[in-house]
Amino acid sequence: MICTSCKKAEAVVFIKQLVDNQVSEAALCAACAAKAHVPLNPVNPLSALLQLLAKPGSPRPRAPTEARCLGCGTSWTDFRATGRLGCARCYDRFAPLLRQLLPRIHGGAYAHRGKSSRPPAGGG
Amino acid sequence: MILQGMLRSTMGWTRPEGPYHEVVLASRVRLARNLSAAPFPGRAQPAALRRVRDQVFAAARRTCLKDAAYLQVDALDSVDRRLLAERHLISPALAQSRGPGGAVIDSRECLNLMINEEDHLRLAALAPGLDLRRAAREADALDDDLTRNLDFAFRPDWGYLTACPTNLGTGLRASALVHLPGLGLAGLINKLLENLPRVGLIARGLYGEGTKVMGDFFQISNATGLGRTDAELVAAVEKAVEEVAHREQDCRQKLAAGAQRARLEDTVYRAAGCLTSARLLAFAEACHHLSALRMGLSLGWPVPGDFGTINELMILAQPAHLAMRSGKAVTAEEQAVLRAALVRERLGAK
Repeated sequence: MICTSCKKAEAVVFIKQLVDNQVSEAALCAACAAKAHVPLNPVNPLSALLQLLAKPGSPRPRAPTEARCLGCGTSWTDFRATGRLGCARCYDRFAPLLRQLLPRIHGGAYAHRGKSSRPPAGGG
Repeated sequence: MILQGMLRSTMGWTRPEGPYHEVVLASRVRLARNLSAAPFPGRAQPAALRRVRDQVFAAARRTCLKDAAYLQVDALDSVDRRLLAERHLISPALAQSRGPGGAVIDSRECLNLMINEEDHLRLAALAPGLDLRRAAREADALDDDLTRNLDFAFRPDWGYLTACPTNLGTGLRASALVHLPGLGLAGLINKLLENLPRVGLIARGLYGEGTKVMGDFFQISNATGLGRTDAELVAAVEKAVEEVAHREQDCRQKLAAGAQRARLEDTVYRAAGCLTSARLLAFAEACHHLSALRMGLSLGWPVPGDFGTINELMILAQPAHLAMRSGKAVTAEEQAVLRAALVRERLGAK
């Protein structure tokens, strides 16, 4: 959905108000929401991740030339722009950076404790 | 439009059953999975995604979903796609995508797969009322069956690998679709929503990420899925939603017994009057009034309809459902006429 204020950017904040039996709704992009003094929902995981990745202190590759995943060609810059990795091998390629990042987006957690995937038994 | 049959099928999760069903419409557990051999959908070529869809369809046919409906979303017209999104069977994003998406849907619409949205596979199980453990059991069993024939991307240290690292780990999201008009009227809803992150939870609109709040309906779910077991995540959401349900019930009773009773009665009966008499109804207005009617029902007041009817109307009164009923594309004004007629008919009005 496009921002109802600037009519350009993607809306990320939705406001619904009911005043005198009139439903008033606004869908604002991050920039317009900031101008309107509407706090961004700090817990939308993707928004929070993108905000974190945009910060100067966020993890960055040290290599002078940009590292790319050998499986799909995704770079860390691509990831910072979209918040999405390109394939399972990205997790190996960017493991040192992700190791710094994961606890910051998972409330301090850094290791899987859930269900294990078993190798395919075939046939079954 | 090839999915007309869905208009006649009952969505198992809209039944007024299960614990706290007056507040919690439905419980849903979804698992995000990717195949290890293919790039994630955002990076993959259409041919690779078609292969992923074929593999998932083949694997699903060897599970309890063997008799389910298998749909290639890109082969459907826009009304069919939107119908699936309105029934929460695919996401609004997949409904708009031109890529080779897929959906596998069981006859009760309580177990389904969404293929090639942000991840290769999103497996979901739904149950009416607050029953996340049941939904989790069904999702887990289907996941086990699929794992026999699909090689999911997984690392022992980080769990199931997903396109967005926020879904990494269990890939599990346990969510409850809750109706909170009492907390809304009492002015406590924002405080509640603000407190959710402190216990690792998040609130979303009716259709998930970034969607609008309609008629005081919210989805409450875990914010992340790394560092805790599947059972711990499910139990945490269930406990928190149970607490929210208690507070909502308490609020409703206090509002009905207190000085604001006349105002509350006016809201509920005005909604009943509007829904049973209006000739033009926008969806947002219908949601707003159905929400009030639902609250009146929970207080035992003599209002038209029942929980099952209202739950279903929340789905059936949406634009694609109305277009499907009329068999053709309809304008916004025609939709409003059709919606008003449908609501009057279902609520037993003339």
